[in-house]
Amino acid sequence: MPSTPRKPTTFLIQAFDLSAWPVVLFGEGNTVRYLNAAAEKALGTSREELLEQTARYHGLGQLPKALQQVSDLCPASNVWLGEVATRDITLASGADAAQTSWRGVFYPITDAPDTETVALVRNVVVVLAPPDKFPHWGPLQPQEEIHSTLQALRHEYRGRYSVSHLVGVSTAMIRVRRLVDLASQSRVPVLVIGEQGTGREQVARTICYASNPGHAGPVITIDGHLMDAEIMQTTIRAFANRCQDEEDAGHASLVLLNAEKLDLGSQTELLHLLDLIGVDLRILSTSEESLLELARRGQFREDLAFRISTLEIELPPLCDRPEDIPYIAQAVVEELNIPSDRQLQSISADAIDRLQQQEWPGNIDQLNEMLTAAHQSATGFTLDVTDFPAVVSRAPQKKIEAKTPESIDLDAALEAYEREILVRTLKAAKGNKTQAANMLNISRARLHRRIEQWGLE
Amino acid sequence: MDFSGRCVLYEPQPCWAPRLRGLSPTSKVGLVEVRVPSEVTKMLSEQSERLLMVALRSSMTAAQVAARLRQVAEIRERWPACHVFLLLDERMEAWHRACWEMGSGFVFIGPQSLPVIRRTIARFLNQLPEPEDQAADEHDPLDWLPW
Repeated sequence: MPSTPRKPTTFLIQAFDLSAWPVVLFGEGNTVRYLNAAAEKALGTSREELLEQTARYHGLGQLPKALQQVSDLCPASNVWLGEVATRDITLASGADAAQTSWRGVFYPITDAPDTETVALVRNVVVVLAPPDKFPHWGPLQPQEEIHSTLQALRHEYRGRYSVSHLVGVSTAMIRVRRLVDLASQSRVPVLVIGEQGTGREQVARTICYASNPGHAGPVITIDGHLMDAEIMQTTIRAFANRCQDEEDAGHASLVLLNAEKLDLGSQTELLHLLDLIGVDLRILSTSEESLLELARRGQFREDLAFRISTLEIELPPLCDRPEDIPYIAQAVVEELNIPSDRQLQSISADAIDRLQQQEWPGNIDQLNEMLTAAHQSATGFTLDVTDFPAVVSRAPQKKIEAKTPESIDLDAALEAYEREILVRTLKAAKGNKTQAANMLNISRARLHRRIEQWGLE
Repeated sequence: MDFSGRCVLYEPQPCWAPRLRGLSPTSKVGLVEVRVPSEVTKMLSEQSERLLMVALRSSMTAAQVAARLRQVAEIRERWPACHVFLLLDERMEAWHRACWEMGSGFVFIGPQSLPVIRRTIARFLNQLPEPEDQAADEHDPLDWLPW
């Protein structure tokens, strides 16, 4: 009995199975319908994990590995409109997350063979080839260019925020890192409290991007400074609508900077919007002081303060943790080396001593600024005291001694103060002692005694 | 008080400039127009408490828009006192999410947002400390003396 003739599609799938180049087939809704053994190997993920996954065009950066890979391969919108497209694709694969570059070609499979006007694309075949073996390379279509640029931008931006960037060996920083870890495992609202320049935004974003894969979702940043209720409303509404349109599983994050600066109208609007929008919006806020404390003093809405302060993380000022300065400084220098021609190796012990003796009212931001200036003016491989701006290099070196109980001489201090007042008053009275004595409501004799005592003539 | 140079518009080709020049707060304080990124860096290094408006246009290539956003992120990190507005054309929907994420919430789309921009610039100018206050000797402990 003759065997049943096989369907042409069976031959096609067989050809794909035998292909040495990875092939992935996307169906409607950007869902993975098929992938061959080469694709499985290239992606380092099992077929079962990848099949039926839906690629997210925008949800890039912090997705589970399989979903991230599928999203990296997602065809741009013009392919679904019937255009053949090519673009470079960078995939993180394997246990060590090594990145490999491929050149991808996207073939739409249209559904209307008899008409040339409208062709409905039901499937897209993505073939990956090593870049050097792919001669047919043309300019990117605008949509593809935007897609791949956005993808690269998000990877780069979100990659800047990780727990490893929260440098420090002090007890306070160890505690901060532990709390960041804890916060990133849930979706509770977090309030990061610290002085200006202590890296509050860095911590808030680290929590956001280190969250369980996919939990961060799309992110919106709102700065409380200058914000008013109308901008708040239009921005968050537009953001929420977009999140719903693009089916991001309803998860999104709001990074609210300088929350204490929000005016009452904006606070009310934010509270109202949180209840109104149909998106699970996780709030990560920063503030100079506890919002609950502000609410107690009547300077912030209590209901909003409670809503966004579930977990409070307090960042210590830099002057309270001088032991962290050598580590922070080295990390900054290494960061500065990346885009620069100057490749500095370290910071001299003298310079570190000087840095540790500074007050740092601007905290880490100010330290960064000093190091950036020093990096630009450095002449050797090591940053020396002389490379730093005058405020550091010419600062008097404090003697580091065991702390003794501080004391002042009250009489001497009061005498100096009284003398200053006398000098100022005599100047104001243009040297007229009678007038000066009247201005100070003391006798002329007393004024004379003081003038003679201190030689103010 | 002298607030000149506090509002900076960064766009290589004039597009938003004529619109913003006509806004009452900017015409009062003077709007500085900047064409190259190095000029932005120089201005912010001298005085970072400024309002920087960065224009993104649909005619720019994806790489140019991405470079501009990258620069915005760096500015926000390096000069936290600088307020950054993103001024977008219509038809730039693909970039909205990146702008919302990397900006500071002030993403203005199209010329119809000019009234809101005007209000926000006025808010910025109102909250600036008066220069005279800074000039006064703030370290003199005898400032309380009436003479």
